[in-house]
Amino acid sequence: MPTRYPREQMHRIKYTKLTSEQILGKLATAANGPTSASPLSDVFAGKSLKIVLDNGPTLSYRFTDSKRLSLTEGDAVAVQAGYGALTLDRIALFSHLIPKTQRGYIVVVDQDTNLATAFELWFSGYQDNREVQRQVYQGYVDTGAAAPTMRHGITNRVEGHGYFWKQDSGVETLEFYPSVLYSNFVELTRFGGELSWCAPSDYIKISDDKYIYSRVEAEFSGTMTTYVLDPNRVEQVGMRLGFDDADALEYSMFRGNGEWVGQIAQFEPFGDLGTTVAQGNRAAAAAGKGARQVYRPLKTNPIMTRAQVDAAVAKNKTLFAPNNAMAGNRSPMSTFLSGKELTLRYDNGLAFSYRFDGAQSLRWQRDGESGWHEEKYESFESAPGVIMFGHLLSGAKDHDAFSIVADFEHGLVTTLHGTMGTPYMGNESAVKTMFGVVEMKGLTPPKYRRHQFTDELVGRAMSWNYAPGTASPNGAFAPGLTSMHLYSTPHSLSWIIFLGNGAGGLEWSGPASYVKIRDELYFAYWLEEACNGTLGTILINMRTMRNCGIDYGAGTNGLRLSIVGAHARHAGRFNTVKYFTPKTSVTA
Amino acid sequence: MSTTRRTFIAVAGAALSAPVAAAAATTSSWPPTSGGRADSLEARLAKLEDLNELRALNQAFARHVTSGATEELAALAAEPSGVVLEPGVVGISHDGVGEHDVIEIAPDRQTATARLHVAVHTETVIGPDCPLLEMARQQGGGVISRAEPVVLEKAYVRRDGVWKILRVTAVRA
Repeated sequence: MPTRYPREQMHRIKYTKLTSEQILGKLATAANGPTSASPLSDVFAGKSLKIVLDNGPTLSYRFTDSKRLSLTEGDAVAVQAGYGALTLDRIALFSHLIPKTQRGYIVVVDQDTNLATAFELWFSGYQDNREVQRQVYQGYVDTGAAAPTMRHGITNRVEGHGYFWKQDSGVETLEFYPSVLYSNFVELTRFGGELSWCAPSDYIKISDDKYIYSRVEAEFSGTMTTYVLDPNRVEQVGMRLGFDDADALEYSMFRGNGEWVGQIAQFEPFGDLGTTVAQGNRAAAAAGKGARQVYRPLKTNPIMTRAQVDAAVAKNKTLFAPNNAMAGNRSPMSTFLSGKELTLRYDNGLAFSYRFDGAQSLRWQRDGESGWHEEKYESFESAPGVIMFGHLLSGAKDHDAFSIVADFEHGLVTTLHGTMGTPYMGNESAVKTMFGVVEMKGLTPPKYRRHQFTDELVGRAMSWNYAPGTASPNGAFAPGLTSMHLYSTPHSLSWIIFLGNGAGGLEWSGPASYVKIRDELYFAYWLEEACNGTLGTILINMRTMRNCGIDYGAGTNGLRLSIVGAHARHAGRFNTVKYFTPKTSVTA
Repeated sequence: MSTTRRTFIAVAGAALSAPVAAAAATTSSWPPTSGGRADSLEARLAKLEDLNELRALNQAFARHVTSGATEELAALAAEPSGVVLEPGVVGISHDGVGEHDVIEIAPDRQTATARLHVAVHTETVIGPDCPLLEMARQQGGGVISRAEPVVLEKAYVRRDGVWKILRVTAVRA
């Protein structure tokens, strides 16, 4: 089957703001139970289960057969509903909705221990009604014997895992767990596998080789995917509930198997098993049923029009401000370019001549112009003869900026041409990559060789520490601002923010690309699309394990070009490159 | 901390603090020696009760500072409206078991002073804003955390029969 690409990628789809009444109407058929490509299990047929949940309701089930059940929640009146169950070894997962409501349950029962985890689900619990809400309860099946003291519980034991999954429906995904609060997913079949996205997620340990994973595609369709996974066998059974981009209900059970694609690093202290989430004491308190940490970037970065951006930029441009949280480990300012004159000639026909009047001041002109434009610039020598520098193109209609990597030993240049404004947001950057050569007295550039896009970074994770840590007199050490990049696909990058104990926390993802400059030296960009609109550009040196870079963005405070500098640590790699090869129709 | 002395709780000022300073200068230390003459059993019991109340007050103070419970913290002070926590202070933890701490109660049992060895936990917000910090703050990060050993010098006054905190000053240990 050829790769099919959507008209819009997930973060661009304007999902309908469904009303509560619309959702209730669409759920009517779901009362008959979920669909499933695989045969549903009759593991509970003819049986009764009384599930006692800590701080939650007692759920009394009677399973008529493999498709119908009755449920009594606490002392409420029993209701009849359709359901579906699947088993993975001795773990059984079943799901049902409650007719004429927007509620339902997913219940996971370990038939050996009688421990249970229940997800109560509901729609219309957030301002975007279509986003599935959940409350997770731990408990047990009441067999009449003494209540067990053990429980399933939240865990970091699958943090860092990565899987390729192929479900019985034919859907293929890559899923990465670089955080205890979030996960990455790449929709290889539904969305063509170009980008990864991030979703708030739950990770629950059943046993050493069985876990529950659950995500809700918050800020997108609001769909929930919940499954039991076996890391050894790389098998899953699960359920998916939500509304797609055409507002059609998807309520299905699935069985899948896949491939283990690797394990990236964890940064918690040894012995920290993730039984609590280490949020700082100033984090917005997660209170109330179903509350969780969700990164909603457009709440804090409202969309601006082009006119609003133009007005803000006219008022203020902040170029390379020295006080910068992401430049605490910046590379030294280079003087390599100072005094030089050169031309950067690109394969797209553009050429720009430069006169570097000092270490921070330059003049440039387009090919054919007679006058010179003066700009402030910053530059860094990441490797001998490899200079990264950036500057605005003052007066350009799209508030253009260049982030440039020039290799003076090979006469090659790659430039990321940033512009402000997209069809979606006025305050969102766009970028084009230009390859070319350096023309300068004493330097003869190659005729055919160029820097190239590369997939050598794909699947890698690297931590980036932007500022030195702080030691306290009592011996405690607080790390400086640090994040982790996961180069999740050839065309996207995720950034993960560490919690106080080093566990992965909130994360988000954006389009990206990677250019190889030299061995172990890569020029990367990412766009924080449908977010704050920033274009991040960094030159990653895996020999010195540091980056230098320039961020470009605009908002209500105007336009900014800012320095980035961080120290790196390798955090492992997922072996995923083979999944990104375009699929084509094959005929015999 | 940039200075050697910091005031954690601001109160009404010189009019209140001067008499306390005078009272503190005439206090006897605990356990009392009283020039070789043993205090009466009743007096010793009363001072033990005072000591326990002051220790409980100190623990509550540390607990409320750490939890950010400003209303509860204000209720511990002689002048609740004067309670102003220094920006960046997010917690206090007591060092050891108090073996180096000293609490002195005035003979009239109306004022007291203490020197308590603690660690003051501070957080300095990293800035200026950037997208990464925005996410870090949402999950309780985006700060530089420090823990510094200090001696808390406290002054207390009894109000309506209840010990209240009059002043707290941190001195670098």
